[in-house]
Amino acid sequence: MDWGELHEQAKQHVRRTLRSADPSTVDDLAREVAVRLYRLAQRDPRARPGELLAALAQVVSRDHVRRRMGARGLLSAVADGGAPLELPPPDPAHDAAVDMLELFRFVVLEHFRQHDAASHELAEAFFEEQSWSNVARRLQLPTHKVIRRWSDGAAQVRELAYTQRGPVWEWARAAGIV
Amino acid sequence: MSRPASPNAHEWALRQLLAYSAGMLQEDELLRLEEHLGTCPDCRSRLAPLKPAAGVGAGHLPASLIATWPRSSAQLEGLERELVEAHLADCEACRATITFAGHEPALSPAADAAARGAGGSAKAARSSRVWMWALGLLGAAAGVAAWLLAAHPAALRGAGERVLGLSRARTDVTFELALDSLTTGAIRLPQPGFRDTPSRPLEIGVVTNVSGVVFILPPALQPPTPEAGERRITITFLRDGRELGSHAGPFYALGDAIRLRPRGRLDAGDYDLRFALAPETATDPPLVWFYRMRLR
Repeated sequence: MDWGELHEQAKQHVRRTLRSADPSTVDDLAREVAVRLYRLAQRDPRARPGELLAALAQVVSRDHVRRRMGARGLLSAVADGGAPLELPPPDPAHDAAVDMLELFRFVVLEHFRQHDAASHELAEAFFEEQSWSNVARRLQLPTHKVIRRWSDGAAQVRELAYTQRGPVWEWARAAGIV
Repeated sequence: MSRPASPNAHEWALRQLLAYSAGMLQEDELLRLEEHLGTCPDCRSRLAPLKPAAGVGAGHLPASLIATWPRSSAQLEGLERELVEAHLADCEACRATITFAGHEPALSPAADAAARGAGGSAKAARSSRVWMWALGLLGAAAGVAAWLLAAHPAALRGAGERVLGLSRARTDVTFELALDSLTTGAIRLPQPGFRDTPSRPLEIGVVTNVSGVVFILPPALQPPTPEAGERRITITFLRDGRELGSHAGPFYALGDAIRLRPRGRLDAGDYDLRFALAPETATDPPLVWFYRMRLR
């Protein structure tokens, strides 16, 4: 597979969707598309990244529009269906390049992976959207205890979030999620 | 048939979606929101784009971070930086993905460190001018703190807890401040930085209530100015995220060394010692340093 060619095609798709995006934003988003496709191909050798390119470029562009709208903008409905999207002006206070919600989830999981194996297992299950009853069955615990444990783990992270500096924690505090 | 959500319940649910997606709701809120999601297609559709990308576990570095790695990784600070660094050391897949994206699979130097480097000389010069008289004042202040702690330990501890608004009992370990740094068996804490990831803990040995363990504080944990000495510092000793003991008080009161004394013998295993220094201004976040330590 020619990843360089795929990256160029991703740029074209992003440029078509976000006509007002500057070249560096287009390049960042095209690279994000390529990274996602690369991961897909690594996971499933039967996957055909070329066939998914257009749809993924649309998703990545739409997500970027939401990020530009700030934390609350993540919940906004953004038009779907391949039409060009209006890109809000950049906010000098924060860089929308990184999906902070995704990075926050990663930091939570990694913190638990290193410090608290039981909470790590619950965090993985929560983010994979496994049902509480399934997790409870696997852990051989009543469902309400599993939910209580997960909630206690979240309380640990909230406490941590108020004593830490750095963009992830600052974003979480500003977004009101901790 | 499911009952439609009331407008108030819907408004409330909309405000919780982001925290729910991050896994940060409290138990009662979590249950209430999940019940609402079962009846509200609007909330479900708004939640859908917030979910982790299909097929890629949230336990790997986000694609958006990897795509912009040189500048985004430079922005990471403190614990988040340590976590990313530790993950990178362990995860071959993420290193390979960063390389695929055309970047070096290593964190870029921290942006704030670079900024410090640029203005460091002037700052150091300013600091050195106040050091000489600050040292005398700090010595006296540490002496007063030591006397206060010895004579009125409950009063000092109570004051710290009121400031933090904490009321829970913490009896597993206590802290003694402003000790002599020449105390036998004292362990010198390294200068805090972001290189000491939790995978490289300090080897401490056995810790009992007889002599506890004494830590000699590095320069970063001693106030450079009298003003800085007035800032509040909170020391917390944790195991698996559970607080075993905490002390809050003025920065100057730490002195050169502190002793951590458990009630009995601490179990073998990994512990964290956290120092959280209150910010200089109300708008700044606190500075936090972690030391991971391994006890036998």
